[in-house]
Amino acid sequence: MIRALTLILALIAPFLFPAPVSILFAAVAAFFIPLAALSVGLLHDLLYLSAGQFPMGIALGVLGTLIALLVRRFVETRIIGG
Amino acid sequence: MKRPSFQKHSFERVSLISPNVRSLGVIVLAIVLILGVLRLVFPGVFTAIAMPLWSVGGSLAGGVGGFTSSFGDARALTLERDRLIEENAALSVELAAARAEIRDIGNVVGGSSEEMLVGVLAGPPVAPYDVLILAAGAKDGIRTGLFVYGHHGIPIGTIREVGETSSRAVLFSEAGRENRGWAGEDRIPVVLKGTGAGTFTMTASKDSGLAVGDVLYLPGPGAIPVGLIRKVETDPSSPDARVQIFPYANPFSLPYVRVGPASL
Repeated sequence: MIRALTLILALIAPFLFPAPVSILFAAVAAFFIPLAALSVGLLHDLLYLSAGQFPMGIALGVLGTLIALLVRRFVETRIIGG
Repeated sequence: MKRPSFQKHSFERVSLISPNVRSLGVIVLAIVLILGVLRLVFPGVFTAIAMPLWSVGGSLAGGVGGFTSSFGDARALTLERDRLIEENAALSVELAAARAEIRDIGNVVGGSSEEMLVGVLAGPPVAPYDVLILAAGAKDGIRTGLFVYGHHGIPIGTIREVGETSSRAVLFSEAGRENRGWAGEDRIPVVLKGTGAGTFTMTASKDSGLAVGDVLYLPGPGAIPVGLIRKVETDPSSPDARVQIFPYANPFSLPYVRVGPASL
């Protein structure tokens, strides 16, 4: 339930809130679903990126997804292996 | 005596991501990619889908602004409002006179009066990259390269992409964008560099004669004031001075803009 809620909020945020708030929601959602960060970044750039600009949303999304994967791996290893 | 058991722990290989989470993430990513294809193939449909959400965002921003401003001192706000009303009336008269003058000059030199009022669907701070999503497109006569003017006819950007019913304008303050203009009464040529969110910076020679309070102009219908010099920072080790600029236009509060050619 929480997982779905954070994902929905993260996907709606680029339409409603300033970019830093969207990043925050994406980070929270990425903790549960790592690919959410990439999805939100991609959506952000689809909405607002213009020709000739650097796709910062996608870059941050990839970075966020990788960090989320590493964090999840670290947490799961600690819980299961510890 | 019971011997201690040395039962081996079984360590399962921890995958980076569980199947459930993976499938949900892949589904979401696929939906976003489909939206991407939709934007490329049918930009109008994409905007139509996004428009209701942008409208809600605009209403929310307005509501939050009204709510937070209600915490201010009511008496001070009333005085401020009265002062602004008076100032606004005086400025309106001044502006009308200036516009009439510009129109007259335009008639003499053969200028165009092609200009349209366009609603802003999304802009900073919701839209990053210093982009404005405008509710008018090719169908309404918008084309790339047209100038976008904010309040009081201040040029704020240019149209970069045009769809059937919507368009994207990029502000002059886009990070890294260089804009040629002038400074001061002597119209010293300068290059204003955008630093995002409506702000600019500029470097100039120490001997250029720029001073605090000098007005900065960008080309529009003539030289249009876009800001003024707030501070000139010098460093003994550098031949250049770093200039801080106070911009007149605030892209955070633009419910609508005017779109027209560079010389109206």
